[in-house]
Amino acid sequence: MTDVPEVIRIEGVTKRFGAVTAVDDVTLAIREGEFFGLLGPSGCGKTTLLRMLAGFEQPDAGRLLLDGRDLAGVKPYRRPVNMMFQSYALFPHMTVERNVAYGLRMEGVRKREALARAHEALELVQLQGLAKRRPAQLSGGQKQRVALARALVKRPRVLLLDEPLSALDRQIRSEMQLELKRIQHTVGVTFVVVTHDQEEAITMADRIAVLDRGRVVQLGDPETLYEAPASPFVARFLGESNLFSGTLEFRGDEAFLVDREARWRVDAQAAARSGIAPGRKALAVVRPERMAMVRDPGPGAPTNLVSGIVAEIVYLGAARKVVVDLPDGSSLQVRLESRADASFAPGEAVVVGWAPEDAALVADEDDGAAPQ
Amino acid sequence: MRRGRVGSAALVSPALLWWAGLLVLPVGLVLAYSFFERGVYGGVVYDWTLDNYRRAWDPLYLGVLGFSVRVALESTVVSLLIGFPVALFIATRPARWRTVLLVLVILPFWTSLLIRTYAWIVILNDEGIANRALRELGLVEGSVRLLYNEFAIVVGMVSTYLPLMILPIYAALERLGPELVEAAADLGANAWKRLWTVLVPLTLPGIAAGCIFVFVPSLGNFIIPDLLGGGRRQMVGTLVQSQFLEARDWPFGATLAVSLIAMLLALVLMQAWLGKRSSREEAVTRAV
Repeated sequence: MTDVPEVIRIEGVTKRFGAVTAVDDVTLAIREGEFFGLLGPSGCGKTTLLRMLAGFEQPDAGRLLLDGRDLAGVKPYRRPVNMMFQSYALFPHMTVERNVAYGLRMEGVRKREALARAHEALELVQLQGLAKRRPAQLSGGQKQRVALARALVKRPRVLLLDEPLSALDRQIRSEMQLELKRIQHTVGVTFVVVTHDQEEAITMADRIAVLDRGRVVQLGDPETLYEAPASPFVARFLGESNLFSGTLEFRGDEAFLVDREARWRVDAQAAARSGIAPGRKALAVVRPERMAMVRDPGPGAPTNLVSGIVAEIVYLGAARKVVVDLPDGSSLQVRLESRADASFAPGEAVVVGWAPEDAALVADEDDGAAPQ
Repeated sequence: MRRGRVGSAALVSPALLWWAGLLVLPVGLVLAYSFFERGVYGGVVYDWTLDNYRRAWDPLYLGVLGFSVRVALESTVVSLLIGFPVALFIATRPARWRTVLLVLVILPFWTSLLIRTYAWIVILNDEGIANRALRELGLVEGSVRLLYNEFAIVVGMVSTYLPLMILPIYAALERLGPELVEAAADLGANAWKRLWTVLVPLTLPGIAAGCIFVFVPSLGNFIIPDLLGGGRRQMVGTLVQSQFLEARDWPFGATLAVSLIAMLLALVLMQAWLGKRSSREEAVTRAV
C-alpha cells in the first residue's frame, strides 16, 4: 500500500480559536485516488482541518503539503482543491449550468467551452435536463448533485466534502453514499469527506481518521476500526458495543481481565499484541452481534457468561436488538438474527455470553491519543 | 368579526392620527397652495390657477433642478464608493466588533446637522485644517478653494448621508453571509472577481436602497448648499426655502415643493416596483 503516492500530507498541524484548540498536532497522509474519511463528533476539529486544506483557515503550527508543495500562504483560489459545502453554497442568481461553469470561467476558459464542460459534469451527476434551472427550483438531492458537479468540473487534485449528505432525507442519503462512491471511482479524484455519521464513513471511505478533541485517535480502514478499535472512544463512536473491564493478567498461556466480581477470559495472543502491560486496566469490546443469549448455558456455551434479565426487545426487521439488564445496574446489548431465538420475552432471566476471540482489547484510558 | 375590526382600528388610530396630522395634512396644504396665487404684498390669494406650474418650467428653475440632480447624483456615487467598502469591512469583522463599528457609523447622526456643517467650514476654509495639511505636504502653495463651491456641498452631503448608504448595504451583506463568497474563492475567483460576480449582484437591493436613501435627502437639503455652497448656486431645497421665507411667494414655493415630492415619489415607487418584481420572480421560481 505504501507505493501509492501521497497527495496530501498534514504535518503536526495545530489550529486554535482563542482558548480553544480545534486541531491539535495532527499528522496524516492522504493517498492518491482514495476516498478518505474524517470522522468525529461535532467540535472534534474535522471541519477546521478541511477548511485549512481549502485555504479558508491558516494553521497556527505545522505544514500542509499538496503534492509535496507547502500550501502556506497559497490563497484558496490558487489551490487545485475544490470543496463541496455543507449547505451547497450554490449561487442563487445563476442557472445550474452557470453555477457549474463558474470555476472554469474564473480560470479563463471561454464561455462556450466552459458550458460544454459544465454539461459533461452535469451528465456525470445525472442532471442533464436541469441546466437552465435556478438553484431555488431544485430539490435538496438535486442541489447536492449540482454542488458536486461544480466542485468536480475543474478536475481538482483533491475534492473536499463537508458533511455532504447531512441535509438529505434518509432514503436519498443511502442512495447518494453509493452514488458518491461510483462518481469517485469514475473520475478517480481523491475525495476527503468530513462526517459525523459513522455509518456514512464506513460505507463510503477507503480509510478513516477518527478525530476526538482535535486529535487523530485512530487511522485505518473501516473494518479495522470496527473490529479492532484502538480506544474506548473509537469503540463507542463506531457502532454499538458492550464493554467489559478488568485488570489484565496472564496465567500460563491464558489471559484474563480480572474485576472484583468477574473474570473475563480474553484471547492471549490478542492481549499480547495489544501492547497493554499486565496489571493495567483494560476493556474488552464486544459488538452486539457477537454476543450469544441463552436460557440455560449448556456445554456449548461461550466461555464468558453473565446472567441478566431481558429489559427490552426492539424489532429491527433483519434482526432484533435485545437490551439485557445486569444485576449491577448496567445493561448489555445483544443483536439476534430475526429468524433465531424469537421466543424471548421482556422480564425473562437469561444468560449472555461471548467468546474470547470475539472481543477487541483496548487500554482503559479514555484520555489522550492512542498510538496510531 | 366586526368587533375585531373596530378593535384593530382603535389600535392603529394613534399611528393613523400621526400620519394624518404630520404627513397628509401638511402635504395636502402644500398641494393646495400650489394652485393658488400670490398676493401683491405676499400672502395667498385663493384663486385657482396653473400659472405656478407653468412658471416652474422656466429654464432658470430647470437649471436649478438640473444642478440639484447633479449634486445629488455626485453625492450618491461618492457615498456608494465609500459606503460599500466600509459596509463590507464591517460585515467581515468578528461579530463582537460589528456592533461597535455600526455604532461608530451612526454616531454622527446624533449630533446636530448644523454643527457638523459648520465644522466643515472650519475644516475647508482657506486657512483651515485641510489647506494647512495640503501646504505642509507640499502639495499646494498658498491655498486651494475648498469651500463655497460644489465640492464643499458634495463633501457636506456625503458626510451627512453616508450612514444611510452603509446601513442597507451592510444589512444585505450580513444576510448574504460568508459562504457564497468562500465558494467563489474556492472555485478560483480572486477578490475583484468575487466582488463583481457574487457580492454586488447579490446585494443589489441593498445598494439600490442605499442610493435612494442618499439621493432623496441630498436633492432636497437646503442647509448644506446654503452654508457650504456660500449661497452662490441655488439648489431646489434652497429655492423652495427662499420662496417661502424671502420672496414670500408661498404658492410658487409650494409648487416647487410638490414637483420635488412628485419626482422623488416616482423614483421610490419605481424602486419598490423593481424590488417587488424581483422578489415575485423568486417566489415563482421557489414554487416551481
